[in-house]
Amino acid sequence: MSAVHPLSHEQLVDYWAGSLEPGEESVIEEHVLSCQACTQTSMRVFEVVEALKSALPPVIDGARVAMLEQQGVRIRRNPVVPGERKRSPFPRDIDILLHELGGLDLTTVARVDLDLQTEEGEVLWHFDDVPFDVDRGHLLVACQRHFSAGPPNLVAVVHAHSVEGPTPVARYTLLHEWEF
Amino acid sequence: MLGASCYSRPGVSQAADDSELVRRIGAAPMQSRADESELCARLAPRVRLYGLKHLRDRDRADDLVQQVLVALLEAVREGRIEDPERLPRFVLGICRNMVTRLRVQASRLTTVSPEALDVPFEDVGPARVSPARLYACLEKLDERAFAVVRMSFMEERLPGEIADALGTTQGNVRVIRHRAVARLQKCLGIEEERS
Repeated sequence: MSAVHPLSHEQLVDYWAGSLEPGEESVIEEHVLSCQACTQTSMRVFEVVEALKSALPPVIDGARVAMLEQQGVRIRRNPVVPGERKRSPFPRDIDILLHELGGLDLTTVARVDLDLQTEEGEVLWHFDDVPFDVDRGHLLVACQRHFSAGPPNLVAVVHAHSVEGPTPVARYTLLHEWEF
Repeated sequence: MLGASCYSRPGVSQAADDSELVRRIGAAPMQSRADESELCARLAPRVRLYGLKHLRDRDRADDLVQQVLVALLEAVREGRIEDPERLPRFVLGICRNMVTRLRVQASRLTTVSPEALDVPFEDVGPARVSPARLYACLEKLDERAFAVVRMSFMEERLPGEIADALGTTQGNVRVIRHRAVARLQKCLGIEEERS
């Protein structure tokens, strides 16, 4: 089986996402080894995929935190309770400000969505199906330095979907103070 | 980078395909430096992509390029490539064997010194995208596209999981994903031919 030239963008995205069967991957790899144009196209897709894979998702779990700490990433924890409006300094000697959005009863929750919005209510980011810790009753939001480009005051709104029905929304207001 | 940079390759016709280069090198080993440089320059980025996929690390991918090109040049000079038209398959076989060896080793491969690749050639690796630029472009995606991209690449979830989470089909996830990556490339300026 040989690949059709040129390789399509869809094929290359699927390849770098790991969505292809081994046989399909081999066909693409053999073609790339023979084709300068498709090599360039594949490299451009790779550059984006690499950046995405290296980027930390905004909501992470405890295992990821442990891995980051093991790698020497400097993390400061910032516990917040529902309804709190909290000063959240981001000093220059840390890499991640980890907001622990706690005080949640997640024992019957099947899924959690999170909105990050301005205090005026404009939704800046919406995250479906984020990781959450049932035992500790919290979500972990990894605030990173490049987020300083956005508004400093953010409201994190947690939507927990319980198997028993709707649960109250929990809101946390984070007043970031960036130090560069 | 491997070897010294060489920005011009006199004596090599850019129209010569890879198999022709292999034939010429095999016919006159050690007298075809320009052809060898050209062959290495062409294959280095291709092999690097294979390494980036299977080793998931830039340094180890660079090691793979070194190893594969040394092995390939030896084979070409010794006339061991029976059918130059099947060069890609031959190189793929070397790549697979080398990746297996590299995976077994905990540290970077050191059994071949940089001087073993005695051919200078131009080698440009992939560019790096800063997190700040990436997030500035991610902000411009719609919610669904961002969710697919986040789950696919940042969280490395399977297509089936993503489809279930978003209430759609795996086929639709793939379409959303490739369009989102195309938009990110455009936003980041990575869609034009690289020089």
